[in-house]
Amino acid sequence: MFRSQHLSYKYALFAYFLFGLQGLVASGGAIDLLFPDLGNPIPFVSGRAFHLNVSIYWPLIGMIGAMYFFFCQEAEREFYSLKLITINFWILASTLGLILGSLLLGFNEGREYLEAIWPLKLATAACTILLCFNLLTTYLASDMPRSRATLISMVTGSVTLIIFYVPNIVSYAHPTVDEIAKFMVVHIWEEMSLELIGTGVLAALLIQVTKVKRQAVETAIYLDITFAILAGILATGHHYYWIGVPSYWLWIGGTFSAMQVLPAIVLLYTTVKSMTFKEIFDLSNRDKITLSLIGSSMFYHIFGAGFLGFLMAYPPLNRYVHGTYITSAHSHLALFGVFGFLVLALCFHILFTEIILVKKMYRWCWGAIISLNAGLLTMGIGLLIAGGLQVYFWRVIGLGIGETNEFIRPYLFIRAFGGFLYAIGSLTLTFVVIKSIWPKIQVIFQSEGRLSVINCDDLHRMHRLVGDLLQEEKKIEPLLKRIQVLYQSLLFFNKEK
Amino acid sequence: MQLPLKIFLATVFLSIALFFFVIYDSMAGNNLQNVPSEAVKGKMVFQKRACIECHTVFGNGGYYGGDLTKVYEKFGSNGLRAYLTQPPLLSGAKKKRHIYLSNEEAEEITAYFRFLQSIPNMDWPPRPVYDKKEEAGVK
Ligand code: HEM
Ligand code: HEM
Ligand SMILES: [Fe+2]
Repeated sequence: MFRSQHLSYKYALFAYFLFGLQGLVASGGAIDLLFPDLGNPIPFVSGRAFHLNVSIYWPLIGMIGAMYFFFCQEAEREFYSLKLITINFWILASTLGLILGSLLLGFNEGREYLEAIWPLKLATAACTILLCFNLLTTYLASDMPRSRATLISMVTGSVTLIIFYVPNIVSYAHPTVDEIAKFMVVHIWEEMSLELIGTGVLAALLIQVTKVKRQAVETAIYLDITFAILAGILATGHHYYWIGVPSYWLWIGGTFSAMQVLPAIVLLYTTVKSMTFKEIFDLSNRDKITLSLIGSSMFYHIFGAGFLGFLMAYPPLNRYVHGTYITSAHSHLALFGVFGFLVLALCFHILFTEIILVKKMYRWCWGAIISLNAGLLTMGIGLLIAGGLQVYFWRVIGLGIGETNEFIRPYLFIRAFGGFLYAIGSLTLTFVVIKSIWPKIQVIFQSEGRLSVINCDDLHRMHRLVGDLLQEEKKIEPLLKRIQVLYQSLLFFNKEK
Repeated sequence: MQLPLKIFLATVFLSIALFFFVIYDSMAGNNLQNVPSEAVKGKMVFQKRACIECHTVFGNGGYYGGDLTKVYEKFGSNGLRAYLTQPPLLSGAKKKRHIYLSNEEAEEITAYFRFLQSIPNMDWPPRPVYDKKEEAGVK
């Protein structure tokens, strides 16, 4: 085990914390929407702004943590700078803390998803730059093949995080330009950058957990990330249809969105192929939870993101369904369904590397996963019906807002109930994680200089390498090199103890 | 360098270049009108008061209060001012009213709505199907 991996624990823990918090605040918002007179402590406006901003940041923070964890494993070396991993965390955490705090106090910038005064936006951009710097320097120093697909997809994904965030640091007078810039984050970050990063990290995890051969997935990863780039960037057009840009965006958005299902299918096919049933039974409890979270993510990737998104992106249909709760159904099924579950899986795996998941907690985890899925599906169905009715009342028979709101209330009620189930799941899972981690909380926040934990992983890996060595005489030299590196790190740890 | 990597990198560069080129083309020339200064102020009011949390503009935002892209057409200056400075009850509420704006803020935001109205966005939101039929029937 690398020390870089140890340093990524705090990202994973923070992602879980935000996830729990979001469920709580969102349920408050959903209730305020139904009963405006209740005098909710968190008014709908602050709650929604909080909710949208945290929905961008927590999957991001979890993914960054996962990259710090899996990138060094794939590059088979420590990160170039361990200190930067910690610094990056504290900048990110305090930026987000300031943003969320000011939103709860009622200071809005009024740009959906991207509420932050410019210094905080600069700080966010700085975080992505620090991340890329560390990834690139480590990539260049690694002895692994330059074209290793997992490394390439994580590095490229991270670089695009910077490129598409920068246009959002300044603000624009023209509302059309505002929208153009906003969707570079809301769409491209989520549907392209995170897709690339997620694919790389997921492949790394599967290679480790299911022992699938690297060569077998290498081509599939390339296929996946090439499709993701090709479709993902220009599919941004599906957010530009009605914002006041030339009509060729209807063609661009429609065409490239139609291709967006391809990466999801490749990913599903590869994952399913890389596993056998027998293997699943042999897995540890921790890996079973991880895999069922990944399975949930795959399910929503096909249905919530791929299928629903595909239908909605067809311009003549989008003209009618756009701007209704149907979009909201898709946002939840896709953003939480795909990346939420994926990040939860990754962070779960990361946090229970050294810490053992006790049997009692294991059962609670299953309860939480079921409740999250049931909640999300209920929420999705309620929202789809509410949105469908909005389309009918507004766009077909031309009813007013107030009357429409009365008609869709029951379905928003179903949504709030789904949100309640969901929140129970999210609080349970967060509770399991925080309770299991708590005794070791100091170790989690330990700085890079004081790490002195030897992990059995290292010994196991050493054992495996020696085994390989005995079989493969040709490749003996690079293997020897790797053994040397590992021995050094083990010795180093021992000295510190 | 291996072939898959080459293809991948080529796709990255081409897609990003094409994307920014098309965006440049969408904004260049006379595609975007200048925003009147009063409308810019109105946009700031709209943002500071977080109207977007309940309303959509171009269909993006919250779905509680409906779309405001063409609201100017519906209410006109006087109607908007009256609505915003003497806010009515929210739908479904017995006590909670719509957000209150001062006269000056209402003026500015009306200018913003007038500007929004003038943006050619392929006539979104679509007019209700029935309205259109009736109109055709009358003719
Ligand atoms: C994994 C991936 C995905 C994520 C995380 C995601 C996320 C989102 C989010 C958050 C929104 C709402 C934006 C807003 O508030 O205005 C949205 C809208 C949309 N998405 Fe996705 N999406 C994903 C995949 C897809 C796919 C694969 C397609 C198409 C094939 C698609 C098509 C659309 C369309 C057309 C809209 C706009 C709906 C409207 O008219 O308002 N999405 N997506
Ligand atoms: C307890 C669970 C949740 C509840 C009750 C909930 C509720 C809500 C509510 C009330 C809105 C505002 C919709 C409106 O404008 O009327 C919203 C929007 C949104 N939520 Fe959630 N949410 C939950 C979980 C999540 C999670 C886990 C994510 C993503 C990680 C997420 C992502 C979003 C996004 C992107 C939007 C804005 C897009 C839109 O308005 O369609 N939500 N949610
Ligand atoms: Fe999108």
